[in-house]
Amino acid sequence: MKILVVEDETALLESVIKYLSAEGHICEKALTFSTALDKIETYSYDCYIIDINLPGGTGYDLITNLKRKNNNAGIIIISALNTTDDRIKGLNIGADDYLTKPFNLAELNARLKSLFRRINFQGNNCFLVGDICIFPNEFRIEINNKSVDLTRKEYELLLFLASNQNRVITKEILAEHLWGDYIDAADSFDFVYTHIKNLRKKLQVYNVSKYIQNIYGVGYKFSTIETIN
Amino acid sequence: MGFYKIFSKMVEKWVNNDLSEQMHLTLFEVQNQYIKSGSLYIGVTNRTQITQVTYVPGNNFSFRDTIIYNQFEQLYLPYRAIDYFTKVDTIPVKITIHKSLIGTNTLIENIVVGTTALSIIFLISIYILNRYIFKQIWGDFFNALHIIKHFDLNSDNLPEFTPSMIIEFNQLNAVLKKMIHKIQTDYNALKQFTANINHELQTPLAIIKSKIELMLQSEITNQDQLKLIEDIYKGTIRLSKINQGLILLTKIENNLFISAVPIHMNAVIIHHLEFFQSLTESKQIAIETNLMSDIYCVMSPELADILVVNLLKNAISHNLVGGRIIIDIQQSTLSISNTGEPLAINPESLFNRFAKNQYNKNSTGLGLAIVKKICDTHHIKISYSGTDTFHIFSLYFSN
Repeated sequence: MKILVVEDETALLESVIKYLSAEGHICEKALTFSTALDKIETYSYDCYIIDINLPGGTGYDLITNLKRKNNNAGIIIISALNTTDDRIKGLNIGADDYLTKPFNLAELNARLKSLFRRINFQGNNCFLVGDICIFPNEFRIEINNKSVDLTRKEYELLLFLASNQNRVITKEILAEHLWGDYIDAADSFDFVYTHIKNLRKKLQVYNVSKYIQNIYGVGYKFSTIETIN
Repeated sequence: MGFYKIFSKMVEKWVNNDLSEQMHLTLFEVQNQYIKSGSLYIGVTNRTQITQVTYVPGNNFSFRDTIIYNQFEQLYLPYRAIDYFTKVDTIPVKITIHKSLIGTNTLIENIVVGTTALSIIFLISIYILNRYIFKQIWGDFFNALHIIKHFDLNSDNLPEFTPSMIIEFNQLNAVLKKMIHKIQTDYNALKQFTANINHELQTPLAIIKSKIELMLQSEITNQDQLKLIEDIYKGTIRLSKINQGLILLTKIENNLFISAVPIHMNAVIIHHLEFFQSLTESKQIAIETNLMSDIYCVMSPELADILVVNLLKNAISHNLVGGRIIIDIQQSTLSISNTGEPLAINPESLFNRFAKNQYNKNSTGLGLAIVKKICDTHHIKISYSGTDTFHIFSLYFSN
């Protein structure tokens, strides 16, 4: 995908671009409102990641501009403002998703993938991850054409890992994805461990639990590539 | 009554004086006549009565009240009499003079009634006049009070006071306007400050988090290094959560959550219980709900969520594996209880910020402080009671 990242904090901007580029996306950057406006006018992108607080203008204006051009591209807002009102405002203006800072890069990546699927494959398609076929619109999976029964949390866990293949995902990131603000209650992230355990059990029936690898002490990695241990 | 008595006494004295005066004159006449004619007249003239007695008693004059029959009016009428014993030459006589009290009695009555009536009229008019003047003078003052009472800090309008005829009130209004303007300015500055803190701290935190995440992607096989990175990451998350918690507290304190609507608390609880289901199931916590009545509270929906989530979070994280959570609603009281370890701190400090929670290292220590703050600003009374193994939080919704 061709992505434009609009963010005035250089360090953060670079992190995002580095992560997304490793996923295979082509990333362009804009540090100010005017630079962003120029790029928007001149080029077209598949997706825009826009920060609200910019020097010289607000992200809202950029979005309104994009929408006026009848652009079908996806828009994700990244912002430090986290009240419900801010979210509603952003979504009403035309953004497709809203992430509050600080956010996990894996989370951003997962949302990006989800957005991309929404825009391009509106039908009831499934996408293949190794032997697993994921039906994002139906919140279910099939392996070898057989439906596998997963709880909602297990499904979300799998989808998240699959969206961030070959990435090390810490337990914290997983917990935050699954339970967001409720994360405090997940004491020592035993919950994550339990869910992974249950998920693996179900996948093992089809011999694919190996996709979820343990990165000892830190978290997990989803990979369909056979690794040589 | 008292007034009447005093007045009567005064009139009585006056009558007595009058009689004494008359007695004085009569005595003089009698003595004169005796000197002139050589004999003493004994009998009744007008209202004077002279009788001969055998001796002059020690107490030689006195007053008394008496009644005398009046043939014309065929009534007994009241009189006051003075008796005087004396010797004319050597003859002991008793001279009695009568005076009608009718006139004086009527006089007393009329005066008393008149005075009382006058006093009452006087009082009433003073009262009416007072109220009228009161309204005129203080009207402007109460208008100003009314305006202040209904002033909304969140609106950007300055209050408009009607100009008064009274200089002091105009001065008061001017001072009030100035003060309110200052308060508004400070308030807006504070709101802005709060928003700024949020942004300022979140961005460096976002940077740290993202760099750590990137570091993890590089091929670090050294376990120690991985552990270090993870610890840094955990610290960052904790910092971030504390930051958000403090900002939330400030916002609530400054009433920045303004879109208050009636919230059905039962529904909020049920919604969040569903969300927590996977967490409670992993910890094998049994949830029991007895929602006997409905509680509605006027507050911002966001705050209602935060309130319930923090209470439930608390009940789950302080719980034992295989423990219980009981959610009870009776009339206007909501109680959330959980099994758990004994409290590590004094129950009084439970709602303080950063009250230590030894069982959850990831706890920010702000959860209950946030709950208490929300309760305090919405007329909800929250209290804790419990034993070593069972903890109960009760919330009484008074509206």
